[in-house]
Amino acid sequence: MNEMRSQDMLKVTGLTRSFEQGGVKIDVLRGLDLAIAPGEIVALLGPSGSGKSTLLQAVGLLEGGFGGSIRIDGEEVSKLDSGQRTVVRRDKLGFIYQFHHLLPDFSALENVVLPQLILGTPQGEAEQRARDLLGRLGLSERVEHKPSKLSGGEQQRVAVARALANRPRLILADEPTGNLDEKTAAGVFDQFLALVRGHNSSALVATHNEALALRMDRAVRLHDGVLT
Amino acid sequence: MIEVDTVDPDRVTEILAPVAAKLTGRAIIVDWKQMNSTLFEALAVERVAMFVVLSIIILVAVFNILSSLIMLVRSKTRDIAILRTMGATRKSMVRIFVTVGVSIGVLGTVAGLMLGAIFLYFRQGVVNFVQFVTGQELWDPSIRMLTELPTKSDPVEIVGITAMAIIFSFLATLYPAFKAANTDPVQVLRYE
Repeated sequence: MNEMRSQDMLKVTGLTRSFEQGGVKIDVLRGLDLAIAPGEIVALLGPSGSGKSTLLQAVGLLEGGFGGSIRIDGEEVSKLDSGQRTVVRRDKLGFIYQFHHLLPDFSALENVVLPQLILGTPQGEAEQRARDLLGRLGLSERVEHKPSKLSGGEQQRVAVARALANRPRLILADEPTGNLDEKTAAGVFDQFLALVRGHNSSALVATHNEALALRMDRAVRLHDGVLT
Repeated sequence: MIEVDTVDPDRVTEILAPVAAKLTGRAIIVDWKQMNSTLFEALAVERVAMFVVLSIIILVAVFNILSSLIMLVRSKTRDIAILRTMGATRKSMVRIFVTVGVSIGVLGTVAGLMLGAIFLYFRQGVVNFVQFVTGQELWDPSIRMLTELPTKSDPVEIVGITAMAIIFSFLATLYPAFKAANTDPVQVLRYE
Protein backbone atom coordinates (compact mmCIF):
# COMPACT_ATOMS: atom_id res chain seq x y z
CA MET A 1 0.00 0.00 0.00
CA ASN A 2 2.73 2.43 0.90
CA GLU A 3 5.29 1.46 -1.69
CA MET A 4 7.26 4.48 -2.96
CA ARG A 5 6.63 5.56 -6.54
CA SER A 6 8.81 8.04 -8.36
CA GLN A 7 5.87 10.23 -9.46
CA ASP A 8 4.04 10.34 -6.13
CA MET A 9 2.29 13.62 -5.36
CA LEU A 10 2.87 13.01 -1.66
CA LYS A 11 5.52 10.72 -0.25
CA VAL A 12 5.92 10.51 3.51
CA THR A 13 8.72 8.35 4.88
CA GLY A 14 9.42 7.47 8.53
CA LEU A 15 7.33 10.38 9.88
CA THR A 16 7.56 10.75 13.64
CA ARG A 17 5.99 13.23 16.04
CA SER A 18 6.10 13.23 19.83
CA PHE A 19 4.57 15.52 22.43
CA GLU A 20 5.66 16.09 26.01
CA GLN A 21 2.76 16.19 28.43
CA GLY A 22 3.37 16.45 32.17
CA GLY A 23 6.89 15.13 31.73
CA VAL A 24 5.62 12.10 29.79
CA LYS A 25 6.62 11.64 26.15
CA ILE A 26 3.74 10.63 23.90
CA ASP A 27 4.62 9.25 20.46
CA VAL A 28 1.72 10.15 18.17
CA LEU A 29 3.34 9.21 14.86
CA ARG A 30 5.90 6.38 14.90
CA GLY A 31 7.73 6.16 11.61
CA LEU A 32 4.68 6.52 9.38
CA ASP A 33 4.96 5.89 5.63
CA LEU A 34 2.41 7.08 3.04
CA ALA A 35 2.39 7.64 -0.70
CA ILE A 36 -0.36 9.27 -2.76
CA ALA A 37 -0.28 9.25 -6.57
CA PRO A 38 -1.33 12.26 -8.68
CA GLY A 39 -5.12 12.43 -8.88
CA GLU A 40 -5.56 9.84 -6.13
CA ILE A 41 -8.03 10.48 -3.32
CA VAL A 42 -7.13 8.67 -0.09
CA ALA A 43 -9.28 8.32 3.01
CA LEU A 44 -7.48 8.57 6.33
CA LEU A 45 -9.38 6.59 8.95
CA GLY A 46 -8.70 6.29 12.63
CA PRO A 47 -10.29 6.84 16.02
CA SER A 48 -10.26 10.23 17.71
CA GLY A 49 -6.84 11.01 19.13
CA SER A 50 -5.07 8.61 16.78
CA GLY A 51 -3.11 11.45 15.18
CA LYS A 52 -5.04 12.10 11.95
CA SER A 53 -5.01 15.86 12.46
CA THR A 54 -1.34 15.75 13.49
CA LEU A 55 -0.52 13.92 10.23
CA LEU A 56 -2.48 16.49 8.20
CA GLN A 57 -0.70 19.35 9.98
CA ALA A 58 2.66 17.77 9.23
CA VAL A 59 1.84 17.21 5.56
CA GLY A 60 0.25 20.67 5.41
CA LEU A 61 3.52 22.19 6.69
CA LEU A 62 1.65 23.98 9.44
CA GLU A 63 3.84 22.78 12.26
CA GLY A 64 7.47 21.85 12.75
CA GLY A 65 9.04 19.36 15.14
CA PHE A 66 8.56 16.30 12.95
CA GLY A 67 11.07 13.61 12.15
CA GLY A 68 11.29 11.81 8.81
CA SER A 69 10.80 12.96 5.24
CA ILE A 70 7.89 14.61 3.44
CA ARG A 71 8.01 15.08 -0.33
CA ILE A 72 5.28 17.02 -2.09
CA ASP A 73 5.21 16.97 -5.88
CA GLY A 74 8.78 15.64 -5.83
CA GLU A 75 10.12 18.39 -3.54
CA GLU A 76 11.56 17.56 -0.11
CA VAL A 77 9.70 19.95 2.18
CA SER A 78 10.35 18.67 5.67
CA LYS A 79 13.53 20.72 6.12
CA LEU A 80 12.21 23.99 4.69
CA ASP A 81 12.15 27.12 6.84
CA SER A 82 8.91 28.89 7.78
CA GLY A 83 8.92 31.24 4.76
CA GLN A 84 9.58 28.43 2.28
CA ARG A 85 6.83 26.29 3.86
CA THR A 86 4.41 29.21 3.41
CA VAL A 87 5.25 29.33 -0.30
CA VAL A 88 4.63 25.58 -0.70
CA ARG A 89 1.29 25.89 1.13
CA ARG A 90 0.29 28.79 -1.13
CA ASP A 91 1.35 27.15 -4.40
CA LYS A 92 0.55 23.48 -3.92
CA LEU A 93 -1.85 22.84 -1.03
CA GLY A 94 -5.51 23.38 -0.28
CA PHE A 95 -7.11 22.93 3.13
CA ILE A 96 -10.64 22.04 4.17
CA TYR A 97 -11.56 21.85 7.85
CA GLN A 98 -14.42 20.30 9.78
CA PHE A 99 -15.65 23.81 10.52
CA HIS A 100 -15.73 25.96 7.40
CA HIS A 101 -13.41 28.67 8.83
CA LEU A 102 -14.60 31.23 6.29
CA LEU A 103 -13.74 34.87 6.92
CA PRO A 104 -16.95 36.29 8.41
CA ASP A 105 -16.52 39.84 7.09
CA PHE A 106 -16.17 38.74 3.49
CA SER A 107 -18.80 37.46 1.04
CA ALA A 108 -18.69 33.91 -0.35
CA LEU A 109 -17.14 35.30 -3.54
CA GLU A 110 -14.48 37.27 -1.64
CA ASN A 111 -13.61 34.22 0.46
CA VAL A 112 -12.86 32.29 -2.74
CA VAL A 113 -11.07 35.24 -4.37
CA LEU A 114 -8.75 35.83 -1.41
CA PRO A 115 -6.40 32.80 -1.74
CA GLN A 116 -6.02 33.63 -5.43
CA LEU A 117 -5.00 37.20 -4.63
CA ILE A 118 -2.46 35.84 -2.15
CA LEU A 119 -1.08 33.71 -4.99
CA GLY A 120 -0.87 36.80 -7.20
CA THR A 121 -3.78 36.11 -9.56
CA PRO A 122 -5.21 39.33 -11.09
CA GLN A 123 -8.47 40.45 -9.42
CA GLY A 124 -10.69 40.01 -12.51
CA GLU A 125 -9.38 36.55 -13.27
CA ALA A 126 -9.74 35.54 -9.59
CA GLU A 127 -13.35 36.72 -9.48
CA GLN A 128 -14.20 34.86 -12.69
CA ARG A 129 -12.65 31.67 -11.30
CA ALA A 130 -14.47 32.11 -7.96
CA ARG A 131 -17.83 32.62 -9.71
CA ASP A 132 -17.20 29.55 -11.85
CA LEU A 133 -16.33 27.37 -8.84
CA LEU A 134 -19.25 28.62 -6.75
CA GLY A 135 -21.56 28.09 -9.74
CA ARG A 136 -20.41 24.50 -10.10
CA LEU A 137 -21.19 24.00 -6.42
CA GLY A 138 -24.72 25.39 -6.91
CA LEU A 139 -24.05 28.71 -5.18
CA SER A 140 -24.47 31.12 -8.11
CA GLU A 141 -27.24 32.97 -6.31
CA ARG A 142 -25.34 33.17 -3.03
CA VAL A 143 -22.01 34.64 -4.11
CA GLU A 144 -22.60 38.02 -2.47
CA HIS A 145 -23.83 36.55 0.82
CA LYS A 146 -21.70 36.61 3.95
CA PRO A 147 -21.03 33.23 5.65
CA SER A 148 -23.49 34.05 8.45
CA LYS A 149 -26.29 34.18 5.86
CA LEU A 150 -25.44 30.74 4.45
CA SER A 151 -26.53 27.32 5.71
CA GLY A 152 -23.96 24.85 7.09
CA GLY A 153 -23.87 22.92 3.81
CA GLU A 154 -23.45 26.11 1.79
CA GLN A 155 -20.67 27.33 4.07
CA GLN A 156 -18.82 24.06 3.62
CA ARG A 157 -19.25 24.22 -0.16
CA VAL A 158 -17.73 27.70 -0.13
CA ALA A 159 -14.85 26.24 1.90
CA VAL A 160 -14.45 23.53 -0.79
CA ALA A 161 -14.39 26.21 -3.51
CA ARG A 162 -11.83 28.20 -1.55
CA ALA A 163 -9.58 25.15 -1.13
CA LEU A 164 -9.70 24.47 -4.88
CA ALA A 165 -9.41 28.10 -6.00
CA ASN A 166 -5.67 27.95 -6.70
CA ARG A 167 -5.88 24.53 -8.37
CA PRO A 168 -3.74 22.92 -5.64
CA ARG A 169 -1.86 19.73 -6.42
CA LEU A 170 -2.78 18.25 -3.04
CA ILE A 171 -5.88 18.84 -0.90
CA LEU A 172 -5.86 18.09 2.81
CA ALA A 173 -9.28 17.73 4.36
CA ASP A 174 -9.92 17.17 8.06
CA GLU A 175 -13.42 15.76 8.53
CA PRO A 176 -14.75 18.01 5.73
CA THR A 177 -18.37 16.94 6.28
CA GLY A 178 -18.09 16.01 9.95
CA ASN A 179 -20.14 19.02 11.01
CA LEU A 180 -23.05 18.36 8.64
CA ASP A 181 -26.11 16.11 8.79
CA GLU A 182 -25.92 12.87 6.81
CA LYS A 183 -27.90 14.02 3.76
CA THR A 184 -26.14 17.38 3.45
CA ALA A 185 -22.78 15.70 4.06
CA ALA A 186 -23.40 13.27 1.20
CA GLY A 187 -24.30 16.11 -1.17
CA VAL A 188 -21.30 18.23 -0.23
CA PHE A 189 -18.98 15.22 -0.46
CA ASP A 190 -20.31 14.34 -3.95
CA GLN A 191 -19.51 17.84 -5.13
CA PHE A 192 -16.12 17.77 -3.40
CA LEU A 193 -15.17 14.48 -5.12
CA ALA A 194 -16.39 15.70 -8.52
CA LEU A 195 -14.38 18.93 -8.27
CA VAL A 196 -11.21 17.25 -6.99
CA ARG A 197 -11.40 14.65 -9.76
CA GLY A 198 -12.15 17.38 -12.30
CA HIS A 199 -8.99 19.20 -11.25
CA ASN A 200 -6.97 15.96 -11.18
CA SER A 201 -5.77 16.97 -7.71
CA SER A 202 -4.70 14.47 -5.08
CA ALA A 203 -6.43 14.47 -1.71
CA LEU A 204 -5.92 13.09 1.76
CA VAL A 205 -9.22 13.14 3.61
CA ALA A 206 -9.43 12.39 7.33
CA THR A 207 -12.82 10.96 8.23
CA HIS A 208 -14.63 8.74 10.68
CA ASN A 209 -17.24 7.88 8.09
CA GLU A 210 -16.61 4.41 6.60
CA ALA A 211 -19.25 4.95 3.92
CA LEU A 212 -17.49 8.09 2.67
CA ALA A 213 -14.13 6.30 2.81
CA LEU A 214 -15.46 3.60 0.48
CA ARG A 215 -16.16 6.25 -2.17
CA MET A 216 -12.53 7.30 -2.30
CA ASP A 217 -9.81 5.55 -4.31
CA ARG A 218 -8.21 3.99 -1.28
CA ALA A 219 -8.40 4.05 2.51
CA VAL A 220 -5.59 3.89 5.07
CA ARG A 221 -6.01 3.44 8.81
CA LEU A 222 -3.94 5.19 11.43
CA HIS A 223 -3.35 2.97 14.41
CA ASP A 224 -0.65 3.25 17.07
CA GLY A 225 1.13 5.95 15.08
CA VAL A 226 1.50 3.96 11.87
CA LEU A 227 -0.71 3.34 8.84
CA THR A 228 -2.20 -0.05 8.18
CA MET B 1 17.60 109.33 26.71
CA ILE B 2 17.31 108.50 23.03
CA GLU B 3 14.48 106.29 21.75
CA VAL B 4 14.98 104.32 18.54
CA ASP B 5 12.00 102.89 16.58
CA THR B 6 12.22 99.92 14.23
CA VAL B 7 9.82 98.30 11.79
CA ASP B 8 11.19 94.82 12.67
CA PRO B 9 11.09 94.50 16.48
CA ASP B 10 11.85 90.76 16.42
CA ARG B 11 15.39 91.60 15.17
CA VAL B 12 16.02 94.35 17.71
CA THR B 13 19.16 92.78 19.24
CA GLU B 14 20.70 92.33 15.81
CA ILE B 15 19.77 95.87 14.75
CA LEU B 16 21.24 97.43 17.92
CA ALA B 17 24.46 95.43 17.84
CA PRO B 18 26.52 97.97 15.75
CA VAL B 19 25.23 100.88 17.92
CA ALA B 20 26.09 98.97 21.11
CA ALA B 21 29.61 98.33 19.82
CA LYS B 22 30.18 102.06 19.18
CA LEU B 23 28.75 103.16 22.57
CA THR B 24 30.46 100.59 24.78
CA GLY B 25 31.29 102.21 28.17
CA ARG B 26 29.61 105.50 27.26
CA ALA B 27 25.91 104.58 27.31
CA ILE B 28 23.48 101.90 28.47
CA ILE B 29 21.40 100.32 25.73
CA VAL B 30 18.18 98.63 26.73
CA ASP B 31 15.79 97.10 24.13
CA TRP B 32 12.09 96.23 24.54
CA LYS B 33 12.81 92.58 25.22
CA GLN B 34 15.10 93.41 28.17
CA MET B 35 12.57 95.88 29.53
CA ASN B 36 9.91 93.10 29.60
CA SER B 37 12.18 90.21 30.48
CA THR B 38 9.96 88.98 33.34
CA LEU B 39 6.98 88.69 31.02
CA PHE B 40 9.02 86.87 28.37
CA GLU B 41 10.33 84.39 30.94
CA ALA B 42 6.76 83.68 32.03
CA LEU B 43 5.72 83.16 28.40
CA ALA B 44 8.70 80.86 27.86
CA VAL B 45 7.67 78.75 30.87
CA GLU B 46 4.10 78.68 29.54
CA ARG B 47 5.39 77.49 26.16
CA VAL B 48 7.36 74.65 27.77
CA ALA B 49 4.34 73.64 29.86
CA MET B 50 2.10 73.62 26.77
CA PHE B 51 4.68 71.51 24.90
CA VAL B 52 4.65 68.94 27.73
CA VAL B 53 0.84 68.86 27.88
CA LEU B 54 0.50 68.50 24.11
CA SER B 55 3.19 65.78 24.06
CA ILE B 56 1.20 63.83 26.64
CA ILE B 57 -1.92 64.20 24.46
CA ILE B 58 0.00 62.79 21.47
CA LEU B 59 1.24 59.93 23.69
CA VAL B 60 -2.35 59.13 24.71
CA ALA B 61 -3.40 59.15 21.04
CA VAL B 62 -0.53 56.77 20.19
CA PHE B 63 -1.55 54.42 23.00
CA ASN B 64 -5.10 54.54 21.65
CA ILE B 65 -3.86 53.31 18.27
CA LEU B 66 -1.72 50.67 20.00
CA SER B 67 -4.55 49.32 22.16
CA SER B 68 -7.06 49.41 19.27
CA LEU B 69 -4.70 47.40 17.07
CA ILE B 70 -3.97 44.88 19.84
CA MET B 71 -7.72 44.38 20.24
CA LEU B 72 -8.09 44.08 16.45
CA VAL B 73 -5.36 41.43 16.29
CA ARG B 74 -6.99 39.49 19.15
CA SER B 75 -10.42 39.59 17.50
CA LYS B 76 -8.99 38.59 14.12
CA THR B 77 -6.70 35.80 15.34
CA ARG B 78 -8.76 33.09 13.63
CA ASP B 79 -8.85 35.02 10.36
CA ILE B 80 -5.10 35.57 10.55
CA ALA B 81 -4.59 31.83 11.09
CA ILE B 82 -6.76 31.04 8.04
CA LEU B 83 -4.81 33.49 5.90
CA ARG B 84 -1.54 31.92 7.07
CA THR B 85 -2.76 28.43 6.06
CA MET B 86 -3.65 29.86 2.63
CA GLY B 87 -0.05 30.91 2.21
CA ALA B 88 -0.12 34.53 3.33
CA THR B 89 3.39 35.40 4.47
CA ARG B 90 4.35 36.88 7.85
CA LYS B 91 5.48 39.97 5.95
CA SER B 92 2.04 40.43 4.42
CA MET B 93 0.45 40.13 7.89
CA VAL B 94 2.78 42.86 9.18
CA ARG B 95 1.92 44.97 6.13
CA ILE B 96 -1.84 44.65 6.73
CA PHE B 97 -1.70 45.82 10.34
CA VAL B 98 0.89 48.54 9.72
CA THR B 99 -1.31 49.84 6.89
CA VAL B 100 -4.34 49.93 9.20
CA GLY B 101 -2.43 51.72 11.97
CA VAL B 102 -0.67 54.22 9.74
CA SER B 103 -3.96 54.96 7.92
CA ILE B 104 -5.57 55.79 11.26
CA GLY B 105 -2.54 57.94 12.14
CA VAL B 106 -2.54 59.78 8.79
CA LEU B 107 -6.31 60.38 8.88
CA GLY B 108 -6.02 61.65 12.46
CA THR B 109 -3.12 63.91 11.55
CA VAL B 110 -4.93 65.35 8.52
CA ALA B 111 -8.07 65.92 10.62
CA GLY B 112 -5.90 67.56 13.30
CA LEU B 113 -4.25 69.84 10.75
CA MET B 114 -7.62 70.91 9.36
CA LEU B 115 -9.12 71.47 12.81
CA GLY B 116 -5.99 73.38 13.83
CA ALA B 117 -6.25 75.63 10.77
CA ILE B 118 -9.94 76.28 11.43
CA PHE B 119 -9.19 76.98 15.12
CA LEU B 120 -6.44 79.42 14.16
CA TYR B 121 -8.66 81.24 11.69
CA PHE B 122 -11.47 81.67 14.22
CA ARG B 123 -9.16 81.99 17.28
CA GLN B 124 -10.50 85.29 18.51
CA GLY B 125 -14.09 84.06 18.21
CA VAL B 126 -13.11 80.95 20.21
CA VAL B 127 -11.44 83.08 22.91
CA ASN B 128 -14.50 85.31 23.11
CA PHE B 129 -16.82 82.32 23.32
CA VAL B 130 -14.79 80.66 26.11
CA GLN B 131 -14.66 83.99 27.98
CA PHE B 132 -18.43 84.30 27.58
CA VAL B 133 -19.09 80.74 28.81
CA THR B 134 -16.62 80.72 31.74
CA GLY B 135 -16.87 84.40 32.71
CA GLN B 136 -13.06 84.48 32.92
CA GLU B 137 -10.84 86.92 31.10
CA LEU B 138 -8.47 84.72 29.08
CA TRP B 139 -6.70 87.45 27.18
CA ASP B 140 -5.97 90.58 29.25
CA PRO B 141 -4.57 93.27 26.92
CA SER B 142 -3.03 95.11 29.91
CA ILE B 143 -0.75 92.10 30.58
CA ARG B 144 -0.31 90.87 26.99
CA MET B 145 0.02 94.36 25.50
CA LEU B 146 -2.00 93.13 22.52
CA THR B 147 -5.73 93.54 22.07
CA GLU B 148 -6.21 90.25 20.18
CA LEU B 149 -4.69 86.76 20.29
CA PRO B 150 -1.90 86.80 17.68
CA THR B 151 -0.76 83.82 15.65
CA LYS B 152 2.44 82.88 13.91
CA SER B 153 2.40 79.62 11.90
CA ASP B 154 5.87 78.25 11.24
CA PRO B 155 5.74 75.82 8.26
CA VAL B 156 8.85 74.01 9.55
CA GLU B 157 7.17 73.38 12.93
CA ILE B 158 3.96 72.21 11.25
CA VAL B 159 5.85 69.77 9.01
CA GLY B 160 7.88 68.57 12.00
CA ILE B 161 4.81 67.94 14.17
CA THR B 162 2.99 66.21 11.29
CA ALA B 163 5.98 63.97 10.61
CA MET B 164 6.30 63.14 14.32
CA ALA B 165 2.61 62.22 14.60
CA ILE B 166 2.84 59.88 11.60
CA ILE B 167 6.13 58.34 12.82
CA PHE B 168 4.64 57.68 16.28
CA SER B 169 1.55 56.13 14.63
CA PHE B 170 3.83 53.86 12.62
CA LEU B 171 5.83 52.85 15.71
CA ALA B 172 2.60 52.08 17.57
CA THR B 173 1.62 49.57 14.86
CA LEU B 174 4.79 47.47 15.08
CA TYR B 175 4.04 45.44 18.21
CA PRO B 176 0.51 44.38 17.18
CA ALA B 177 1.65 43.79 13.58
CA PHE B 178 4.44 41.42 14.64
CA LYS B 179 2.09 39.76 17.11
CA ALA B 180 -0.29 39.08 14.21
CA ALA B 181 2.54 37.80 12.02
CA ASN B 182 3.62 35.33 14.69
CA THR B 183 0.17 33.79 15.06
CA ASP B 184 0.49 30.01 15.05
CA PRO B 185 -2.32 28.74 12.79
CA VAL B 186 -2.25 25.24 14.27
CA GLN B 187 -2.72 26.46 17.85
CA VAL B 188 -5.55 28.78 16.83
CA LEU B 189 -7.48 26.31 14.64
CA ARG B 190 -6.97 23.41 17.06
CA TYR B 191 -8.92 25.18 19.80
CA GLU B 192 -11.70 26.57 17.58
